[in-house]
Amino acid sequence: MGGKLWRALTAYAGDPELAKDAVAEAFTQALGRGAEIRSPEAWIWRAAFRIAAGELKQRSNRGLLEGDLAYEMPESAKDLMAALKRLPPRQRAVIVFHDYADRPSDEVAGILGVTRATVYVHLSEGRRRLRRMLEDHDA
Amino acid sequence: MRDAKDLLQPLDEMAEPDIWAEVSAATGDRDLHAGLGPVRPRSAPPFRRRAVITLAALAVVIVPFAGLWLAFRAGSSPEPRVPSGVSAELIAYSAVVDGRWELMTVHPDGTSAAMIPIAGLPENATHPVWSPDGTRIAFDANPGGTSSVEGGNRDIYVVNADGSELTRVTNSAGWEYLPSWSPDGSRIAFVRNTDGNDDIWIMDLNGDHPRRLTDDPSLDISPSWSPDGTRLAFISNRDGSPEIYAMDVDGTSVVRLTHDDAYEGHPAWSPDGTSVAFASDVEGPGLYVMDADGANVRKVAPSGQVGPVEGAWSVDGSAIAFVSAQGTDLPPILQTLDLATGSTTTLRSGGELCCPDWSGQQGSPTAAPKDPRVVATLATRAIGLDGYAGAVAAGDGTVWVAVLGANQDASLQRIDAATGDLEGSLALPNLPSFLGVGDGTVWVPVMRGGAPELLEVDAATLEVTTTLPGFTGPVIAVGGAVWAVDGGLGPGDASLVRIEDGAVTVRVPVGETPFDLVEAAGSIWVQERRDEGDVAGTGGVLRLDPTTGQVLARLDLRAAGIWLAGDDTGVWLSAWLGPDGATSSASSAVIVPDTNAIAPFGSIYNFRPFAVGDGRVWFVAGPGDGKVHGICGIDEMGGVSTVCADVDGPDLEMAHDPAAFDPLTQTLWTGSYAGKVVTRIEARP
Repeated sequence: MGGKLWRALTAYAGDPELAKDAVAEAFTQALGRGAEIRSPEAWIWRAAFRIAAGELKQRSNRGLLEGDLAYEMPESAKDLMAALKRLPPRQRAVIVFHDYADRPSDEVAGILGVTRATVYVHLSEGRRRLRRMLEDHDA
Repeated sequence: MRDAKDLLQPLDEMAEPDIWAEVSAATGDRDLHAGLGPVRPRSAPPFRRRAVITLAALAVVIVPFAGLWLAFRAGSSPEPRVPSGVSAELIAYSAVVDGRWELMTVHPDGTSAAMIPIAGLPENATHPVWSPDGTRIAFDANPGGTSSVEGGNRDIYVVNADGSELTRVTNSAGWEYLPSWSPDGSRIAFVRNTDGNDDIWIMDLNGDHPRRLTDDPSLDISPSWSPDGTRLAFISNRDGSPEIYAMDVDGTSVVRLTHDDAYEGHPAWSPDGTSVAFASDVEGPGLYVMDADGANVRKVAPSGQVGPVEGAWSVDGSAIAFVSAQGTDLPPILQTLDLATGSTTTLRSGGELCCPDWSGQQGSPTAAPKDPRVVATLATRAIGLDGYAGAVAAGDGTVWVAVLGANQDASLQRIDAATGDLEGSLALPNLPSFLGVGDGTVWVPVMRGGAPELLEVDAATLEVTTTLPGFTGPVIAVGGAVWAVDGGLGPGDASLVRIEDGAVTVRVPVGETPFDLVEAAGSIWVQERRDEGDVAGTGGVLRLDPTTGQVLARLDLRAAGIWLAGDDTGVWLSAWLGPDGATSSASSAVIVPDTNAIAPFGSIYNFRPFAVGDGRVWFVAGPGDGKVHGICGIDEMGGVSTVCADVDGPDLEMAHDPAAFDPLTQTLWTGSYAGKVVTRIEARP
């Protein structure tokens, strides 16, 4: 679960280090709460996303540039990551959490704090744009 | 065109860093996986436990409701028509005709025995079982081909009641046989034998998600679903001779029901769930009945010799159809037994007969007569609009659809519900997720420049007559007032407000913005939920006085998202039991307005109820994994008989979430998030 979550957050945030910190923080918090959490998996997904989103917002508030990618991104993923970065954040989030990570649409709606209807609209648009960007690139 | 999953595949090639090192450094706990543990669902969600407790109360309450409902329906027109292909009290069975096993039907009085004409019927078709809505039959047969089990290959099939659309559901080299339908019609329990060992399995109606429930070297066969969909009775010889057991539909909580050295076979649960009929020879061969807990075993009819005496309960539980052997060299007879008088009626005799099943077997606990207005199919007609539907509402012969066009421009469209004609549109600043239909008006919550606004639009002129800044959806109009949501200062600060003549007269805190809001049984019902910091909150439903907003009841469902639909007799809901509830999947229930008791209704595979009309609760249906499969209606009182329209869409999951019912034209309208936007479904052809 940790691997998939990290990849999803990296795809969402565009920053593998930030993703790693968010996942680690979410797991740490979950362990701290222990039996209080009845569905740890869903809780961790939601918490990790919120931590990552919060950190991203803080960085943009502080006007920070993106950190250097100390992480070595595999060639095949570079185009995809660049395309994802060009999606608006909400569309990127639903594509990553729903299409990549297979989280149920209800959960994605809950994670983002929007209605399912909104999730679907973003999915539609996001998929269409992503497809166009990647296929244009191929051509 | 590649789909999204393919495009995202390169993400899997990223090598993950060592996250655990960081976590263990933070917590000092080396054995993290053990600490966190596997995700294990609770044994029963509290929602269901509560529901079990109140089901008895519901049974007491629902009888007077049934009377009210029938009285209402008696006055309704037009005269109902039973389309072909739908049974009304038919018994299915198998028999040898001209040297071949065929599937047959006969009326309970023995008349009109007929063969079901099935093109391409495979060999040795038997064990027919009706779907709960009486439109289809599952059975097992030999498809031919090689088999891993002696005796030839055997698979499960489904066919329409009129013999059309034969579908093979299982396709393995092993034996699959003895199907049993779940009460909601979405799954089939069956027996699978791939290596000489028979075990009980469960799968979706189309064969997806097969799951093994029993796992021991003994014979485990003849599953029979309880009418409430929670248990399966079955036969096992794990303790010696074949006995009757029961287990939960996930294979746990196995309980042995019969305790004798006799042979037992073919358990069949009664429609009210209180008894089990079965074959036995404990007091001589015959048909027996016992209480659902195994007590009070009694023989109800003799059989000439030990052997299959497959009993099938009538819809109202007063009779059992069964085949009994009369004795060596005597032909078997298919007969019905009246449980009250003990008298039997022979329906067929002679030749080879087997395995009766009575249509509509898993009926409602009230023993109400089967609805003659059940329809088997819903006709659809698509209306093309270019864009996505964010919300759909209907009433008085008009349908309102909020649409996001191809150019990202949002609009409100008015459609004539009778003809499907587009009659007019109003440009909107964004795509709303809710609409509320009032008297000559429609309420549209929008976002303008990032700030919420509630628009009142004149239904005839499509002009905005009132703008109420700061309010959002969901929104409903009740009498001369409108109920809407004030988002407050941020998450957790939302309140439901009542606005009359432009002034807020009632304010009820509800925590997070509710998913849904409905007026039914003279009250306002709204979801209430509070998140607790980072932990996703759960909540329930508030029942409010429609004028004063006084909280009449607070029902704790421990759910994160709740959708509601109601009328005078009930409030139906489906709940997403969110991350901090028991499970992330949806669950369905009904609230009885007289008592505020909550009882399970339908199954978790129904969700998003959006309207009540024509005696049915209409909902957007899915198999519980978040994927929409169509628009369905389930009968209000019993929650069992279901009719569905399979609405095609380029992406089934995204098709047809917002939906509405127009009582005037008896049509259903659904929006889609891709492709054809609005679909009109006639509730009865």
